[in-house]
Amino acid sequence: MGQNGTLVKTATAAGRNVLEALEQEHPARSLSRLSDSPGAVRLLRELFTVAVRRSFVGRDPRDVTGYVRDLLEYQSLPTDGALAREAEAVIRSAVGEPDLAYRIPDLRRFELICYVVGDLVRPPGIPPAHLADLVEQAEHRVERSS
Amino acid sequence: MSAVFPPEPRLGHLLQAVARNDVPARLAAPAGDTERRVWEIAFGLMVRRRFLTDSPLAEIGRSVATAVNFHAAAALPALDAEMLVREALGEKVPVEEIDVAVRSGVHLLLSASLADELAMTDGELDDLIKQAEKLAVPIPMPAVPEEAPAEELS
Repeated sequence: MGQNGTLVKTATAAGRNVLEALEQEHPARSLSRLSDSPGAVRLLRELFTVAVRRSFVGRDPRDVTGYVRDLLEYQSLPTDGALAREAEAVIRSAVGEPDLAYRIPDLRRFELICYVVGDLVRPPGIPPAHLADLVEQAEHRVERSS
Repeated sequence: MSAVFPPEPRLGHLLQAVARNDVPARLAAPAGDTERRVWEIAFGLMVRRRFLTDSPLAEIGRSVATAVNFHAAAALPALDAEMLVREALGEKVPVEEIDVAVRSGVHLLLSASLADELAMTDGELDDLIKQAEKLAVPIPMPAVPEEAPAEELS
């Protein structure tokens, strides 16, 4: 498996669980099953923050709209309604507009985070080493905030 | 209704009143479909007067934030408001499932706020509303000539 080399780099069980979930056929769904693990949830939130900041900081926020449409189309989800606005709000809240997402319930926010993080491995996906770096960075952020 | 003295445009007065903070912004106030249509068209005209199609999102966001904060009691969702502005500028954005009361609130309160940003006079505002009212009138379908009844064969 392409990700095996990354597993040894993760420092935490949560990191290993997240990487294992990302190897499954339906990564977003597998990630959402980690919702009963507070450690994995914290790590996923930080991984989401790291991933979207690296992708969207410094870019036109309209790029987020396009990305969300692409993501939801790939997941065969509705692209023109509340889900798309919520996804955009959650992403933009992580890149400097925190007020946009304060009305979104935690569970929905978590689901959207799982979709975005799962999208990291959508074929062709980011290189395994890069994914491991993101997880490692997220682990450091969790460690610093605890 | 008098054809000589048509009624004053109600939305113009309402917008001016809201812009001057003379009346509370009650989103639940009942409005008919035609009235909502006029609000929507006026909102589109106002948005395109204030912004360009490629205006930076930060600039749009500032105007939306100003309106949302000024009319905080209405609790307008900022992202929904921003999406409606971007839709009015011709962008393909997700605007389905926005509650009709939220739409009307955004159309009314944001229009009032943009009128204030543009420092529009009462006359300019009324002109814009009159234009919206004209545009809101449905174009009549061309009359279909009635077919002559077939003559009965005896």
